[in-house]
Amino acid sequence: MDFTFPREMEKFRKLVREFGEEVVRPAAKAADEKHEVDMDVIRQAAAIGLLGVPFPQKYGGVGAGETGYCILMEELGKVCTSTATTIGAHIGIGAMSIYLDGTEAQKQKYLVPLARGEKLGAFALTEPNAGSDAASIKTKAVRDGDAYLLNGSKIYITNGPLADVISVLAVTDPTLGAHGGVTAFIGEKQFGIQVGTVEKKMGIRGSATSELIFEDVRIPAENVLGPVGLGFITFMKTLDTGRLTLGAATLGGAEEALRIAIDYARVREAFGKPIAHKQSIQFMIADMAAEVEALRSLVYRTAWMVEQGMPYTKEAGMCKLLGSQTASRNIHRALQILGALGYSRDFPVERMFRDARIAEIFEGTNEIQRIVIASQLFKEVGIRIRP
Amino acid sequence: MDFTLNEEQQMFGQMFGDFMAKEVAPRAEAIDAEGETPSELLEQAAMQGFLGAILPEDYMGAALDMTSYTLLAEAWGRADLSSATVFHAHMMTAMAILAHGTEDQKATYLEAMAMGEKLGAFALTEPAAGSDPAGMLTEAKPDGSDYLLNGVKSWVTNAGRAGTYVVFARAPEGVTGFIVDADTPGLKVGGREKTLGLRGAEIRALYLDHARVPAANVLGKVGHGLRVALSTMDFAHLSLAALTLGGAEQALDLGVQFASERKQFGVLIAKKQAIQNYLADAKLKIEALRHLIEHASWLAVQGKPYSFEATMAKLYGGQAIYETANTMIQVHGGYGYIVDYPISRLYRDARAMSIIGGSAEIQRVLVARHVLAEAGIEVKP
Amino acid sequence: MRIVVCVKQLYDPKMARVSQSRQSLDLRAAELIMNPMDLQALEEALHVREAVGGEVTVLSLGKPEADDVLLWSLAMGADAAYLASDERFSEADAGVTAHALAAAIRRIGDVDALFLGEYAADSAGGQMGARLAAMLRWSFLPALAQVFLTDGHLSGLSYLETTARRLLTPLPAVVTVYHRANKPRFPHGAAVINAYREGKVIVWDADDLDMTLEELAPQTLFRGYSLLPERELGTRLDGSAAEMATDLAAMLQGRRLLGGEA
Repeated sequence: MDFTFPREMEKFRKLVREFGEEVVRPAAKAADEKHEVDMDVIRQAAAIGLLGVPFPQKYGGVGAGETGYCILMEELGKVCTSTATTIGAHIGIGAMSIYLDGTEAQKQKYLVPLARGEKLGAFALTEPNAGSDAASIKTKAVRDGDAYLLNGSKIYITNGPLADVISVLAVTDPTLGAHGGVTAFIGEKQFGIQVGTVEKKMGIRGSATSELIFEDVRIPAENVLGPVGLGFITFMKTLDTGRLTLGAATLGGAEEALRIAIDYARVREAFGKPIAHKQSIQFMIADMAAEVEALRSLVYRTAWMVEQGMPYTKEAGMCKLLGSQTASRNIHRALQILGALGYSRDFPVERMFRDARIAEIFEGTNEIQRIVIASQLFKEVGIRIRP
Repeated sequence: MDFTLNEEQQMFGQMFGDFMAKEVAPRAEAIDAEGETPSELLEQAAMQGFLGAILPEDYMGAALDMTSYTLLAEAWGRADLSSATVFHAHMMTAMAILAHGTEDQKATYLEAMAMGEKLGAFALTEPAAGSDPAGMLTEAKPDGSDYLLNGVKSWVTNAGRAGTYVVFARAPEGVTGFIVDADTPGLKVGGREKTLGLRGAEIRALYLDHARVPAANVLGKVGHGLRVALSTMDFAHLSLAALTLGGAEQALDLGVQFASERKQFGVLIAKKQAIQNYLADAKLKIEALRHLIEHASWLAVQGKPYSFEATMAKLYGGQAIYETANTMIQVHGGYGYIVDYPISRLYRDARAMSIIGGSAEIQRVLVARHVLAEAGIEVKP
Repeated sequence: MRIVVCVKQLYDPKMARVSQSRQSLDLRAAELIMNPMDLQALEEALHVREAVGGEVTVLSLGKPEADDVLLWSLAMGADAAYLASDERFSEADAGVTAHALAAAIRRIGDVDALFLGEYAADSAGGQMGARLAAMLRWSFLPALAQVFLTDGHLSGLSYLETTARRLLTPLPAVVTVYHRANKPRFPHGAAVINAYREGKVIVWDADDLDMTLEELAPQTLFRGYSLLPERELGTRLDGSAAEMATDLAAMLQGRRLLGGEA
């Protein structure tokens, strides 16, 4: 057991932290207010490799593995959840699906420019009537010569309006259902994928979420991602890494809330003394810190499991579940400690409060995470449960 | 033990619900988006007698008993928490004047407030003294037959819009309440606070720069301002608790409605146990809160002290509305995060309720003080 | 074209506290960082290399863990890194340090220019550049920005308090880089990973540098820290603007800070 990070990981964290403080944090408030992605921040992140952190250097990545990717998300999660969301969707599910199941040719063609940040990625799974329920997918892919024609629509796609390369799941054989009948494709915006409604959201307003519409979009057969009919597996596998690193981003948010709470409690006086002397405040802060450390251990141990090649579906679900709850709770507590200042839009806790709430919902609601975790636990004792 | 509302209360409850559903709820989204409670809405409310709800008929009030008042506040909170907060701040100001004003003061101010000609605002909090009125810095210096008020009040709901302020300041004899007209020279309002929720309520700082207030406008006795403030808090706690009850009910309604329409894995999510548990827990909180409020308001109607019960209702209400809104977002899934769905607004509004009108932490101190008083132990914050 | 950049590792002065005994620094909360001014020197050298080619070599003197600032420099784009490290340097003053660095520069060989930060954030002496120039008998250009190399010459804007002079000198030369000359780049993530995984730092001790006992003997001794007295509160003036102006003028005249009659 060694709980220290290798030196290169500590230094990679230093890089990301300095980038976060100097470039990302100062831009966060305006992006939230304008409700748009600050592409200048994304371009600067791309220039130093931050859009390809986990991927091997031979594919244009940083080669920092899952641990490095968690470090990136944790540090971004401290300063701007929107930026963490944009980059997380790009790397963690968009490009990751190609890295996990793409052919060498697909990796060269798509993963390399994605990892270098020359192109932006997205991951299109959710549909109006199929959120976490992939079996209800309606988007159809019909073989047409050396290509497939896709028809349907996807909703709540992070990076939808900006992405160049979009991994998309569609039904190729309606008789076979989720296992055998759905296929993953690598789509390009220029194939004719249209951007539908751009959502107005309560938080993560510095990221872009939209509908994507497929009307006879022609995707070459060579862009089938993974085996035909097994797209569901590719997508679920991808979501596992997405959930782990979402957990890392929530760790950053939870830590930031703790830092803000301590800073404020140290100086704010009531009844003649800093409120740090009040047990109500101390206990909130102690709980915040304990939950942060529990989450940190879970996140980095799970990253280690990924790098060891161990199965980690259950743990990834736990990272997302515990992480989103910890971030929300800690920001809730920080807001309480700051009182009216926490409720004011002049201070960052208000934005953090709105931003944090999404993590309990997207990439599979927490209810779905509990189902995933419970399914794994019961599978170990021979019981198969269905949602 | 009789848990039924009397005929009059039932009738009022029906009437309030109808009005709010028809006139207020449809405007809630715009009130939030535009950041303003429209004047015509307040005028309509005045015509219904709502702005003088608890005032006696002598002052053109509706003379509601406290239970009926909580039904009104609940109905308003259910329809829209922003404008309900505007109403609440107005009502507690009127309540302070009713309880502590002289006959002249009541005659001068209450009728105009009941008619909606003057909106009320209650200025107690200061930048460095939130839950701690003893740390107040605003000064009231006697000057002939007047007082000169100097200082800053923060987070004053309705500031800038109100015609009548109740302001607390430190006179030589101690903290004292004053009724201050909006056109008093030296009274200025600060910029609008931008907030997470309650965006339709105008919240600003109040600057008092040698504001000249006649001694005749002292509310209650000189030096007894904390008593005036604290007794008004009893009413304010109950009023805010009723707002949270309405908000929590609205959140549950939205959750039930969504769960009854949304299918996942081939069935309505309302059929899923996890969702049912959310709904069950929310209902539990709502009914517990309702009973806390009903009990407190019943004590008030009986003319008995209700301070402790009102504080508990406010403390619990702040938790209940937040937790309910929070889980109902979860029921909505991704839809709950999109501003087109009212649950996200309700969630932002709900978060205020553990902060405004005294933080949850200070209310726990008050409850603990009551609990430990029986054991002979004195509790200080 | 070979530029050597001298970089120093130090405790972040923002986080170091003088301990209560006032004799030592409390470094529990302090982090080891690269002198921020040296980052600018490196950035300026990398600029020059990008314009005219050649290589950038970084050099430091310090404990073995000072390899950190050299590896970070490699991540930023330096081509080679040297560390002068020896227990006999533990009491090194500016003179010993200058001897060691000068010896290292001679040993590296073929150096056309030496870049340093304008001063070190922990000692703020700002003397190393001048000392090295004197020892190496190279010309010295202080507080330089917009550094430019042409055929055998180096030029730049040398900043004084309110003016800047454009200077030109033949090579080799020593340059201290103005503390606001540039904004140092972020290294690429992959370069950070590679530098710390496989970056090479060549370590030389005093023997490698052929240093004499005399060169190793510090001339200044460090006797401890002391806190400066806290600044006294200023005087507050009251009254109308005209009254305050009159009072202020009288005060300044009283202290002979302003001409005229008191």
